[in-house]
Amino acid sequence: MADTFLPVGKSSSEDGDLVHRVRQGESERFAELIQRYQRHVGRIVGRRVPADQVPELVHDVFVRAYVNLAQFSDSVPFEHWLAGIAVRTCYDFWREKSRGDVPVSALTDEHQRWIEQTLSAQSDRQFQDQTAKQEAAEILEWALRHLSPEDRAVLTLVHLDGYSVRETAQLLGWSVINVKVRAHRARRALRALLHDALGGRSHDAS
Amino acid sequence: MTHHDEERIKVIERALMDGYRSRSNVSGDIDVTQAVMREIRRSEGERSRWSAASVLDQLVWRTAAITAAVVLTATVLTVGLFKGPAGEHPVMLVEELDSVPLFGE
Repeated sequence: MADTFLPVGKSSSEDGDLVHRVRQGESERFAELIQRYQRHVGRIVGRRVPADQVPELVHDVFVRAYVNLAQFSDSVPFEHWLAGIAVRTCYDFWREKSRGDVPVSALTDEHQRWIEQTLSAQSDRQFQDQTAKQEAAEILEWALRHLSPEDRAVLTLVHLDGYSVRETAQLLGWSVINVKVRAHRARRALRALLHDALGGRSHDAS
Repeated sequence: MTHHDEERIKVIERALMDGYRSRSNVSGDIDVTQAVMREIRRSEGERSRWSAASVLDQLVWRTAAITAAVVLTATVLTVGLFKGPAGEHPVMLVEELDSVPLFGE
């Protein structure tokens, strides 16, 4: 499910050539790399931050990529390297946000209703309809906001995007063991939050 | 946590994950090319201004260092020149001793 690693239709040798030219001083050629990969970066960023923040963060990803272009090595495809920058930019966004101590709003009656309807779904079709609803995204966001930026980043990559622990470690620039521990801890934290949410539903219902 | 709770959590967790994965095409249509290239041009301009300033700085420091070295050398030579007549030159001293007759001569 890790679709951010899917090829985007250009060979890595073309990317390598473009990067080489930009490094040699043809900075205007960087526009071609932006046009080639901004949808790819937009998808990665769009899944991780609020919609109104996406253009600004995609912009930051490309500026960071340009500044750090000297560190790009041909041993990895450009899109993978760029995906790492995108993931770390989103992680920095949430780290910055967590310093502000913005209170997380509680689940609403609509969210509780969504949980109830999802639990009582009689068919796969009903279940899938539930997952497509806005409430599903809001509840997930509610849960993720309760996690630390580190746990959030790992949970999103490993459990939601479906990256392996090794790929996640590469993307975040962390050690494999750190990712493994965090992934386990983050999953447990998510389940505890959902348990609370379900408990709240039962109490409200009683 | 009872087995029943576990099962319910699993269902909700799966629903949230499926929902997340189905929202795959968010923010696919943004175009940041112009904004990024503007930023790059601006930073490149700043960098070249900064590098011109640093070249000027280097020039000033080098000129100052060379001037200081020239002044120091000139000072040492001048001091040596003025100090010369006052002190006894070893060659002159030898010549003077040679020209003085020994006792009994």
